[in-house]
Amino acid sequence: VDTTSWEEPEPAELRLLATDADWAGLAARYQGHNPRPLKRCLEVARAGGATTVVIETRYIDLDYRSEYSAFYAGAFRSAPDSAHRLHFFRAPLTADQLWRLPDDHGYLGYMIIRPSDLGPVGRTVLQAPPGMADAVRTTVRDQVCFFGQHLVVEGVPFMQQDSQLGRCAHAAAWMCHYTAHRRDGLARRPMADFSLSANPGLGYGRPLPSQGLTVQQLLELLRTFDLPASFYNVRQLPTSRLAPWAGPAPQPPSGQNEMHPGLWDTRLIGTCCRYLNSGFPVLVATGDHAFVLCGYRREPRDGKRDWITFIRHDDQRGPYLAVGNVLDDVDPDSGYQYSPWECLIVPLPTKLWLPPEPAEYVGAVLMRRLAQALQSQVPEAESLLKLIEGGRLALRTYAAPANTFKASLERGIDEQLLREYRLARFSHYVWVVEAVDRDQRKDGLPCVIGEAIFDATSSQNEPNLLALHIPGAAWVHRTTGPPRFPIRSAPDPYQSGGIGPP
Amino acid sequence: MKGICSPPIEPDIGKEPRMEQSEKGKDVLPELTDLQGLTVTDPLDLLDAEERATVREELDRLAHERREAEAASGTLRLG
Repeated sequence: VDTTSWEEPEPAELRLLATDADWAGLAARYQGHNPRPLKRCLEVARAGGATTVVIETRYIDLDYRSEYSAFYAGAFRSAPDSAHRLHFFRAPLTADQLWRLPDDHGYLGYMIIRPSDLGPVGRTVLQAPPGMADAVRTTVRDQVCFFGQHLVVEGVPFMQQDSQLGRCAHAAAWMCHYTAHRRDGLARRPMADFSLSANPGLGYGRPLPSQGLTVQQLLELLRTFDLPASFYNVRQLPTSRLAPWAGPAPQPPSGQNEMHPGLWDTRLIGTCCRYLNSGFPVLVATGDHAFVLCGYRREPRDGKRDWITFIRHDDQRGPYLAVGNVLDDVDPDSGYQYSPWECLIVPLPTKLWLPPEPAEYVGAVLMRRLAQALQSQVPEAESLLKLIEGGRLALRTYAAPANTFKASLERGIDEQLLREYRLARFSHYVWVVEAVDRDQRKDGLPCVIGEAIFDATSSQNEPNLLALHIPGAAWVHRTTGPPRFPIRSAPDPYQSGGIGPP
Repeated sequence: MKGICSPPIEPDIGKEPRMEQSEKGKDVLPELTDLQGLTVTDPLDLLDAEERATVREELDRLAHERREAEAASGTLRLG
């Protein structure tokens, strides 16, 4: 990164991006030792249709300024104390439009550039590339002030490590935290805090320059930043069958009992999906690296289980990258071996105490049992049992603030049930376990036929059921007096309330 | 200093609610039609004793597995 005349021209530079040479010139301007994150960011902007980049040449970035203050200001070699901010637009702009943008500017997002060769890509929020947008599930809305004009971008926050103060674990934790900041209004933490607040007693060696974070440091850091994380060791994923009618648990290949579960245990996939359905990013740790899952795509296959392709932000490779095969995860460009994944760290809102697995298990048991109990009086209930018998019932579990859940009920749900749900007293967050008709899902049709709703502040040993709905009838708890039952409802399938396609 | 617009507050403790019982709730939630006498106070009551024991066992097992996995979080360094 050439820092000569770093803050010129004032206040900004405008470049049109019409040809390969224009894009190559921009990449060359900011290329660091590891050019891949920058290259991928530019690919994403280009795929979104960017034709103009506006470079703010003296941008006081909270994250870079924190790093400068904590580290670079103490180095012998001078470094600029400001960053560049690149804004991408779909519309071809001219310099005299910058102070009053046309209505159809087509803002695609921004990238902060640090004046550093070791990790130039700072805070970045770019729209997901076309074709990937519906698979991305942890999108947030970020507002930007551009020469006195408020612009909005929806995307998943990304940042490259600077390799001095922060490493991959810091960058991954920051991505999760900035997402929660934008999503839930959590207090903003600048990037340097992720290094300075790490407990050195839980790690090795000197904290600066950083050599990374241990898993325990990472967990402790997230806890102190009001985002306590759920932890899964891939070698010890929950062994219980969460749906009583599900097939046997996956086993290692014959004769290879010692094989790492990260190479064969497909429960890894469902574990990640429950959180991604809720809009929560999942931080994945391999043996020595960390990255963030921000979405997934389901692809039905004839006669086989659906194929799940995850989407990841990897600070060393860039944003919005597809994970071809979770169990054989190799970077196609460099050959870097991600597999086997070692653990999953899911930063969560403080009051989401109930984990999803007990909710899913009890929800499955009770939906089936209620259908059995009611089938003689509510004939529609039998359809749920038939789907179970035919192996065509799937479960989709997600968490949501109860108000968001109630606000999103206009998705084909029976009016009577909608009224009951909206008037019910629910905990601030709820876990929702949806009963999904696989055939309807495969055809892209409304596919949810019932759900169980749980109090997210209840115990994992005794999940507190708030509502239970099967085709034709529902039960809703009340905090005073008897529950509402039987609420009769039409059996028609409706859309899922989780984030992204089911 | 006395508030100029705050009437003295009468404690409600021990008083009958002002709203008649018949006015409470009825206009917000409709009456539900009985299912031939079938009532479900708690869907867990639909499970027999053996099924309830199985559910409790499974939940205990899930909780135990979670605790074990967390304890084994180890000292991997990510960088």
